[in-house]
Amino acid sequence: MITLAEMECRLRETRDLSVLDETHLHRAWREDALGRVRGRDRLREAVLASLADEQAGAPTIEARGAEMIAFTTMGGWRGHRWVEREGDRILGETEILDGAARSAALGLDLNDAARAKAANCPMHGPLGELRAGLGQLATSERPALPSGFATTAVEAATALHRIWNGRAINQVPREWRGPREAGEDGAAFVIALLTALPDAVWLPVRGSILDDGRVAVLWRLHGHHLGPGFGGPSTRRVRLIGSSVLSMAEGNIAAEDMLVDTLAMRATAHRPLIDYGPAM
Amino acid sequence: MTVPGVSGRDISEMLTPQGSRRQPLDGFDPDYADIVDYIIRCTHRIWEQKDIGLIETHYADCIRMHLMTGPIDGADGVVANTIRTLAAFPDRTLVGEAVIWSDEGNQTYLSSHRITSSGTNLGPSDFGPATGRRVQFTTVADCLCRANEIIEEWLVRDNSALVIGLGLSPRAVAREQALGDANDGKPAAWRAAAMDRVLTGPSTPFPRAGLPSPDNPETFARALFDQAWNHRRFARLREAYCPAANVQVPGGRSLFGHGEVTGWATAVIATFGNARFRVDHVAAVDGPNGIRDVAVRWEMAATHDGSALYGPPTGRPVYLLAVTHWRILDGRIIDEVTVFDEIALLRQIEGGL
Repeated sequence: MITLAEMECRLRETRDLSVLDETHLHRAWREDALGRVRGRDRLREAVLASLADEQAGAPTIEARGAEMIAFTTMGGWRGHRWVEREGDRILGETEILDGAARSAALGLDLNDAARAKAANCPMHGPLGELRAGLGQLATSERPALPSGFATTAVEAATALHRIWNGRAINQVPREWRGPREAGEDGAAFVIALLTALPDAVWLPVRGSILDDGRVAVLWRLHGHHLGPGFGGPSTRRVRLIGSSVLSMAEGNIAAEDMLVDTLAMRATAHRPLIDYGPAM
Repeated sequence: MTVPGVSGRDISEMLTPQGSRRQPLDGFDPDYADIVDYIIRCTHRIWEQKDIGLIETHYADCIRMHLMTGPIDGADGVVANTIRTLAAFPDRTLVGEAVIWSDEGNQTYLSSHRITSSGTNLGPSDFGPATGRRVQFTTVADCLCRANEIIEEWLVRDNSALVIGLGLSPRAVAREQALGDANDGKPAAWRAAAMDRVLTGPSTPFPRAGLPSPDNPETFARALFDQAWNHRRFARLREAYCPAANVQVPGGRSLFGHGEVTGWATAVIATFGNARFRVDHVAAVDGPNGIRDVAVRWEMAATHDGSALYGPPTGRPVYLLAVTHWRILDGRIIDEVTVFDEIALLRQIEGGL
């Protein structure tokens, strides 16, 4: 079976997109914060379109596991890729790229890049509340975990839940890396994101143990862009996908390598709204 | 013998000859090993290999197809529809996402086939002139199959996702279609009968007990529709759905988690305040790693009396035919795809059909 690291190298270094026929099911999908493409053919087109702008070169693999890898591209921006398998084939991919860093590396204006990313991604209006069914209740001690969530990642998910949902920003580790625009101060980045999305909820999706024993957690952050920063306030509902690679110590996060696509957050403001109102 | 589903199998593997029969299929062509093979292979042959003539041997002459735009009787209508769609989207591919089936007795099977269609709009379609746009949309075909023939079909397509993909306004397209219906604002006879069937169904007592386990998919599905939808106990949705559930509903709208799932239910009822729901059919198959796939075909009848989803209320009666596919793990829904023709719904709201 081709590993995720091998797949990433074949795509980025040799531009061998035929690897997708070996690794992916024909039903495969790929998602990012703005949506999902379905089918291996469409997925291949999306990969090709993305690589077309980039310089070929081997990525540096920084974390690897059966379900997830973290890498830095030849161009210097980072990515996390999660996969969901059926048998030995990939059914789905969740891609989190540092879109702002990629735009900068490609010499693109950040706002222009956000507009371009949004142009073909119309969106529906938001539905429902963010803190489902909780009303006035305080944040629970433990997160609501999905079915099949890896038991080995529960501690890490709980620690992230305390930070994001409990707003225990003091628990963001000093040893922290995030999107390039965040710099090295994780707490400041979390505060900036929560200031922009004051009602944000953090929702765990999957957990996994990596080859080096670290824990990886795939998550979502949903909130309304009501505060300043990241191109806002736009009042739009922002639905970010994030990923963290964590070193744990006594139930706390000792080090975190996280990624969330802040370009997608900026792009949300520019997405055309789908209108079901009466025709003129 | 086990009938393998589509899970973990690539199309190249599924389209190689499957060998001898895996289940009783008297009257089916000899190269079909099971009902899943029949559905996947004949879809490929008819649609992708363009062997439209095979409809003659795969659809009963007297087939009735149920759509939200009204029934179509006879295989000739199926042929005409197929060719029209292929003319509009000649490169259409049909990725079989799931085939959830049930044994209806006497070697008759109900297959609920969920398809992701991709194609380029190179010819005029039901929605207007060619746009040159590439689109993706979901279809579910519930087919009752016996002796190599589909004898009855319930077909639902996410036409609003298709229309949005074409760069058109769902409401404008629906209004244009409604103007051509010339029905004096009254529901067509088939729709009036369908709404009557839903609205006159027996009401159930207030559901005090919690949801039953999805170990019995039929009981679970009927209870969830009754409790959450008919009795508006939306809190039940948090029992039924995984907190990280991915849900796709018409218009290509994607929902994530309890808040958005509950938000969808709230918006539907806020649009159709007196809505009544009726479950028609439930099928379920077990997959690998504890996965269970469930298909529920259901109907809704209501009055458009609220503005949550589709603009100011019109007071018009509406009928909805839908299919929902659930993927269940550890007793909770982790994935859902619900398909109905939102363009046909808007057409009713605009006074058509």
